[in-house]
Amino acid sequence: MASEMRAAVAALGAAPSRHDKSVTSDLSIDETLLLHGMGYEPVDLVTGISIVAIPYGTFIVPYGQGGPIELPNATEAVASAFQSGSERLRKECATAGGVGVVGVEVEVDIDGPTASVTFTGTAVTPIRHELASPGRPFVTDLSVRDFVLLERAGWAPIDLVAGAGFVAAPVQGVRKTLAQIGQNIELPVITRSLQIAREQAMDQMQTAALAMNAAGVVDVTIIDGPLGHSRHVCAFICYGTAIRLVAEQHQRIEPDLVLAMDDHIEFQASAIR
Amino acid sequence: MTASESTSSAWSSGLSTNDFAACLDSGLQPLGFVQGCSVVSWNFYSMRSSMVGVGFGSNQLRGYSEQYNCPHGFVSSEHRGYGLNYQMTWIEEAWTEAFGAAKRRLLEEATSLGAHGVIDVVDRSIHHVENSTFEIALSGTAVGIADVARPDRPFATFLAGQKLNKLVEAGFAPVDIALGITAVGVIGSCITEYQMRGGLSIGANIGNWGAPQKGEIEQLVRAQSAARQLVRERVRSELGGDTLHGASLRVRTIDTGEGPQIEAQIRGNRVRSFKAFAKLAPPRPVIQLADR
Amino acid sequence: MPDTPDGPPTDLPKDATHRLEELEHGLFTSDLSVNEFLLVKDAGFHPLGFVMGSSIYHIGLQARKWSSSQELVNLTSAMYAARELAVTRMEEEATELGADGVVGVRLDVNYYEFGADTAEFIAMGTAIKAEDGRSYRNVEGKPFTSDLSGQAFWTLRRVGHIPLGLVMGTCVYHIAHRGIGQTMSQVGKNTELPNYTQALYDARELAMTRMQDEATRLGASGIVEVKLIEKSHMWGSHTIEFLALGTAVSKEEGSAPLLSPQTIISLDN
Repeated sequence: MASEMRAAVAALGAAPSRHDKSVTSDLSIDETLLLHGMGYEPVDLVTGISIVAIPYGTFIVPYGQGGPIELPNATEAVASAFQSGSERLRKECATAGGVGVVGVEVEVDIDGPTASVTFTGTAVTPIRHELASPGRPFVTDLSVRDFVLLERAGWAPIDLVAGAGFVAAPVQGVRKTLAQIGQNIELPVITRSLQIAREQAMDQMQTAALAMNAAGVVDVTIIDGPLGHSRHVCAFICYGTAIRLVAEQHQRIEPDLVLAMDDHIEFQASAIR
Repeated sequence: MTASESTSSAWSSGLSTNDFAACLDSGLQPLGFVQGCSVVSWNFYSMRSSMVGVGFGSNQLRGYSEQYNCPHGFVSSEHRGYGLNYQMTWIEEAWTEAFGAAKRRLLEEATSLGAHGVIDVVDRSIHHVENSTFEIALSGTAVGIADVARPDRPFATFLAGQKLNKLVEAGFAPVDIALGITAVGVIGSCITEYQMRGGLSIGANIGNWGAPQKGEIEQLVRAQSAARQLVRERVRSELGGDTLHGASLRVRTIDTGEGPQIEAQIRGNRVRSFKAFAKLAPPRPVIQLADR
Repeated sequence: MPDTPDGPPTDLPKDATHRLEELEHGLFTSDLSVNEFLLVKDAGFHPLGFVMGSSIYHIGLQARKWSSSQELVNLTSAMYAARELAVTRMEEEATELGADGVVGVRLDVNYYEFGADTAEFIAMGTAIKAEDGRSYRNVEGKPFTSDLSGQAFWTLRRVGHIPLGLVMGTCVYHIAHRGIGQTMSQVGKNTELPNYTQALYDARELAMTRMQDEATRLGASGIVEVKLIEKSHMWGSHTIEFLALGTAVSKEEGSAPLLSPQTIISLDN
């Protein structure tokens, strides 16, 4: 180890070799090594963003309606933001010479009448470039660690798939039910609204995955709850990575058992006030 | 500025014990805790307030800018006749100057200790609000290594411990810490504002404004993309063939009341390949016998 | 180093003596986790008991000049003396137990309703003793103190180092306000302010240097896990305490090299 460190420090005097091209990657060295172990290297940090308008009035629900009201305008807006954002990410990846993007961080923000979706990840390419297939770059929010483990087991990511559902629980319906406070009863309208939003979103995600011949969707992230600015609206957004089996069959990992002796106690500077 | 050249012969280091152990293992000897800081006065001012009496096209606009003209002609005095995305070069310069000065001082201290480099660098940016000042403070542990000539300028890295050792084993030498900043301001055009309000018009109403209620808000998408693009280009332009590892891209959008201001920041470790990338043995998959 | 107040309590409380007597009969208490306990044993040490010390201190105010940056020497002395007292009392408890050292030391400051500007400084940790019969006390004949965890202690021993003591340096500094004229003249410029830079710089250097001087007195070869903590306590944001804290260590002869760790990939979330 010490001799390698000496060689590294000694090499600082020399200029970087001319044929090296500058690479920016947000991968840690652990991740770079893992990736290298499976024959990939990072090429660039890539991003994709989309901000869409949600028409005014989408979240305003006519007073006195009976059942839950679906809000297709909002659903479509978020779905299209996912679409255009990931398309831009893929384009940046292709420009940088990558075959796919790993460790994509997805940020979704719905702020009044605008919705934005941001993707940030690292484009990767096989070290031996002739192995690079010219097809559509894959995109995944899996970490490098998960990507490597999946690959070991014979699976490959295809794309991020997402779904969104927005449903308004009618104001009057809720008030009427709340007037019965004191009786412990289910609130059927709200229950139903939430159900509809979830089913709608999951259905979109699954349809997207089936369309790309995926065998499954892993690591699904779910954002749900009332919208910040319109709390009668229930929002449900989900996204995950669609994967397919590339090996002939699933390879078992067979992990070893270890006993960790760390406690992960970190010194807390806040303890000293 | 003076380094802590006290009478003491003891070195000090901010290294955790694990990092300290790994550091000894790699032949690096800690020499001392070093720091560098810079305080700049911090006045927020946007394009608009600095442009009083100045028209567009003045040389205040440097770098990236895009103008969005109003397609409606004069409608009313509330109706904005233009929109603009512009790079706030003065903010970038303040940051770059402060970071550069802090780093220079950090490395000066390390040099005065006879160090080969500085590891485990921690950077903090502190707003002293009452003073409207803003500080960049860097600290780290200066290290030396036997039997190697000192580089012209000590290397610097955010890494330490096993991570640094693994970096070297993989064939990369630590070179420098890198920080890139870009700020882009947005003055929304009438159409952008219309879209950002979900299709609610302001001032005089003119039909559908030639803008769809649904769909992408082009000006904002362009500004957000430009900020991310510019900051990556800035960092890349300083790499000169090296690699930036463990880069983190942080973007925040501040609503200034005059329109969004987007600040994008990249920081990471600049490293240089000094031998063929060595392949490490694949790690063993394990499961811990503990319930966390 | 700083002044101590008149008539500090020197004896341990009666209950403490009783508690410590019980510990001398073989029972031990400790706030070490099971992992830490096993690693401390593995490093050849046995836990003796949980030890603590505290000091209630009145920290007054000191006149500050609005527009100049300076160290507030009285406050610095008070902050240092209070912590030093707490640590010394903890050391006394450990000495009573015949300990070689104290690991996992935590330093806390609590503000009670006793009165304005009054704070309790507490130090607590687990006293340990070597099982090989050697004494590991430091040059001052006192048990070493250290804020290292059980894991860190084990690692440090593996690379042939022994802790000598918790070392600290503190500096309470007043950062000047900017005059209105000054502020106005800088409007529209985001430029470096050399005076401020220098003030913050000096304050941190003072704290660091004081800490290093302590380490030198202990004959240390180095200080690990240095933390530089900045707190305004109850003084308002222009008066800041810079506290440097670390564990002084020294190298022993014949240290075993660290085994290169294995790379693993955890399947736990």
